[in-house]
Amino acid sequence: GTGDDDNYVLHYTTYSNATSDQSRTVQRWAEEVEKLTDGGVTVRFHYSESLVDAEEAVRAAQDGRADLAQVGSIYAASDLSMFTVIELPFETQNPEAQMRAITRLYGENRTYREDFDRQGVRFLFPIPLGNAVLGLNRPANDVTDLRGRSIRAGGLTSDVLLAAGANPVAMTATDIYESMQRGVVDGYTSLALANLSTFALSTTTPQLVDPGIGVYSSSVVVVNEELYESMPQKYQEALQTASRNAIDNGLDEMDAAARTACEELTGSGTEFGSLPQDDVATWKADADIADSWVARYEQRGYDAQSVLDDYRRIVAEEERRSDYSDPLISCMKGHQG
Amino acid sequence: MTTGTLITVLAVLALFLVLLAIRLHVGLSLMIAGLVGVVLLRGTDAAVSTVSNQPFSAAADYSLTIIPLFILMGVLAVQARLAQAGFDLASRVLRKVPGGTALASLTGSGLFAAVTGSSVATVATMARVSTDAIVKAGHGIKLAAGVVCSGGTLGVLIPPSIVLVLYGIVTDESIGHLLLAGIGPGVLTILPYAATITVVVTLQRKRRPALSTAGATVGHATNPGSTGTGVATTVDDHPSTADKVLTPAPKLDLTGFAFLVVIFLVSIGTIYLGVATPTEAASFGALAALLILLIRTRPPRWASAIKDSLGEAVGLTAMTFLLMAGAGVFTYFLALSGASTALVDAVIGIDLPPHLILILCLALLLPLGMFLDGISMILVAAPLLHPILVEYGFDGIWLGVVIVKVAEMALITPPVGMNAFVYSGSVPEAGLNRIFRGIVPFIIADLVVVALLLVFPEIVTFLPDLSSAQ
Amino acid sequence: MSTVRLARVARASAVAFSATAGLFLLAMVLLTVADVGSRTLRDQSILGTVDISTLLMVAIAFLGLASAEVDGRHVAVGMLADRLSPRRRMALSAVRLLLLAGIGLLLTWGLADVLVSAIDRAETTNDILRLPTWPAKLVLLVSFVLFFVTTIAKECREILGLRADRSDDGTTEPAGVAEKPSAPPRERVR
Ligand code: NA
Ligand code: NA
Repeated sequence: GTGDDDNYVLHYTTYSNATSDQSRTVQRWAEEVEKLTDGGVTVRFHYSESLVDAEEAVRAAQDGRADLAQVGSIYAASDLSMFTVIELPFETQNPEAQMRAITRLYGENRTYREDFDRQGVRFLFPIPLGNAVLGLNRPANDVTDLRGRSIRAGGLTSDVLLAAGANPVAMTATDIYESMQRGVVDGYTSLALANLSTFALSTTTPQLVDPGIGVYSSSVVVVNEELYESMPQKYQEALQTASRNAIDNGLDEMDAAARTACEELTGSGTEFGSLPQDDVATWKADADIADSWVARYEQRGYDAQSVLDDYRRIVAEEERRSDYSDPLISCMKGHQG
Repeated sequence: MTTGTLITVLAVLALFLVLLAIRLHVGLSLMIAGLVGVVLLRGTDAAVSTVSNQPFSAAADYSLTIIPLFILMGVLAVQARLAQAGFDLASRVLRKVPGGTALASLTGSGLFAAVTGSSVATVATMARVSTDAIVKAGHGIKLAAGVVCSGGTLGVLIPPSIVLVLYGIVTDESIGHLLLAGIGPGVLTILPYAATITVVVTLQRKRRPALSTAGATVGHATNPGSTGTGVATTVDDHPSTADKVLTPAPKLDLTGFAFLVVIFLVSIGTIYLGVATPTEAASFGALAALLILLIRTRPPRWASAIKDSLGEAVGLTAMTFLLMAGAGVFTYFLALSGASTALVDAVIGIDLPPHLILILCLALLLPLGMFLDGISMILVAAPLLHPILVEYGFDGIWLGVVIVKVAEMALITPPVGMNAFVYSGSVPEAGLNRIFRGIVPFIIADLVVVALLLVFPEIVTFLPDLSSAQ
Repeated sequence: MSTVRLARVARASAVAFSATAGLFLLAMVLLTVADVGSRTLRDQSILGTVDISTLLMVAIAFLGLASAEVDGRHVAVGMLADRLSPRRRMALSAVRLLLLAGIGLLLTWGLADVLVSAIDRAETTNDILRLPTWPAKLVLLVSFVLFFVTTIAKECREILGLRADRSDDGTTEPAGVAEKPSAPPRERVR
């Protein structure tokens, strides 16, 4: 870090752009830190992978190319493998419970924590993404309707689509709009309501379906451990205080972005729908993603089952405690009565 | 940005120029200068990590596959002598027109550049042969230099175009839209160039009336001093001899010309029709070019033709990616220093009208053309200029085309331009002075084109708009 | 191994690397066309096309580095350096040689480190097939090593050539090294 005496300028690398709800959340965090430290800690933002690629974010925060990094779970399979437990589909529809679980696992599960330690980074706070949406060109009333359709997807959601007999197509989010327009793909997922405006999808999606997958991804902000340790106690506390507030801020910002998208979808005549619950239950059983996740990582020497068990336990506890409702669910309610 | 950082940035820029001047590879110069900069700003660990991770991250991106695919498509098309076919057709059609040889050379350079997408490579390939033909027709070496150097810049906007693809990659603009957007201005540029040739030839005739009788005819020799060896290569099967007033017209290779159109349609049409993404479309283009090459060569030559094409495509790809890896290190350094954001803030702080800012930014590109070819120039300049100008409300796709067009102009503007240098390397008897004097009328034509693009942005945007509206 | 033998091995390797990259490039074309065809005709993508193409891309991008050097394809700016006297050109050549050796060693070390780390962490791609990245990183390491060996050998030859020129005392013709896109302007106005 570029700390001389009591002044720290932290370089933050992110794949999000400057105006996204995720970057807004980190901007609010940085403002709070700066205030708490009387300007002793400031953050220099590098948006849209302008400093390092998303795949490299963890290692960049470790080897000094950056100080702070946003690490998306879809880029974390090799470096923060246990963190990817939060990508498992059909586990929860409540992003707040997911956020609390991401945070609590760091303190409560050793296997989960060790990944961060090994990479030389310290977890600060998570950033929510919300529930997965399924945007389609033609309506779908049940899971079998997805059979044979080409749908943009990434991460574990691709495996879920395979189980439904659909055809997952990997493509960057910026290509979705054009590919939907031209029929290269019939639909997209691995996106949440709050993302749709960014990619011009909130005004061009004929059918928006809640596939029942629930939360499907998230990201965390990490700081270089050595740099953190070198900071005076007062600064460390400032970082921690701001991080505790970040979850609420994140949900706030996500809600705002999702509300805009919901209005735009409504204004452009999008039809809303969701897949039947029994159907989704069968789908979950067929896909069996959680078991193969555990198997894959136990093969690599992780006690992955303990991470999954703790994740499920904490999510259940936090769901009881939380009255948060995902904006997708609110948006759907407004349209289905 | 602190004063210390500013000094570091200036020192690193100076180091980059010094490394270029001692003839180190451009990619390595960027890499070493950036490395030194990162050491100064952030220490050795970060610097070594940046350099060591850059080659992988510069290449491990699916959307980049379009680069080797477009290169391969171009190389295969040249191997299949498709550019040659277009040139022959033009020579035949333009036989009786005043300045016909020059116009045909322009067409040849344009077609070659269109399929290869590299203006510098076009000049290196076409310089000798076109010059000999034009000089023989009595138009003098100045016009030849102008035609060849500016003709090379023609094809860069017409797909396939690596430069436009790279522009899309470094600025996150839609590659498909950029490729469609380049077609209008690319085709438009041909008209002022052709008009320039006609004017120059007409003036020549007025000054030297003797020329008007035969000078406009293909193959007529008025300059016994030139060797004429190259002509045999230009119009391979029909070597023109200095003794004849009229060479037999080249045999028309209409299928060759048709194939050229097929490649263009396959690579652009699949995007337009929605069968494939631009990245995938490039694969179709390359496969089409491969099949055409097989159709146009006899089976015993298949192996060597394919081997040569692949070898050349791989070499050009490596050249491009070494540049990209170096540019990646350099860009990391610039981002870290905050120079880019400081520059954006400074420019916006001056409070000038947007079009003046645009013109100043474009003028900045011209001196860059003395060191760098089109690809390097876009890699270095686009990440800096694009965000500034988008901030002023200019359309991203339109900007991409205008910036690439001006970057190509920078290759021919005096006092220094890569195309002119390469030409002078191939045709040493021309001399830089005469080359640049020959180029000047074409620069005027280019300025007219750029002005038209500024006044009528629709020339650029109508095709991408049309395709979105589908 | 004698230097001549080493040079021959390097050249042969450059050809082999370039040929491999060519085959990879063809494979990528066919894979992509097959994927689009399969998707359009029977609604079924070839699983992992993007994964595979991305790793092939890394290999295609850099396997040709050395052969591009042999063929003089890399872009350099010759206009200034090539106007100097053979003596000064030799000095520049020596500076280049040092820089190439320095950055060559650094990259060799750094790329080896990146490779070891990828193996240690069992690093994979992030798309559906989760392919290991180490083969691509190994290709990077060997490609760059061969590239620097070739470049440094070429620079040495240039120095030797210039020395020979100087002892002949004469021509300003450079020692057979002409970077194509940056061919020096040799003014011979008549
Ligand atoms: Na082109
Ligand atoms: Na210039």
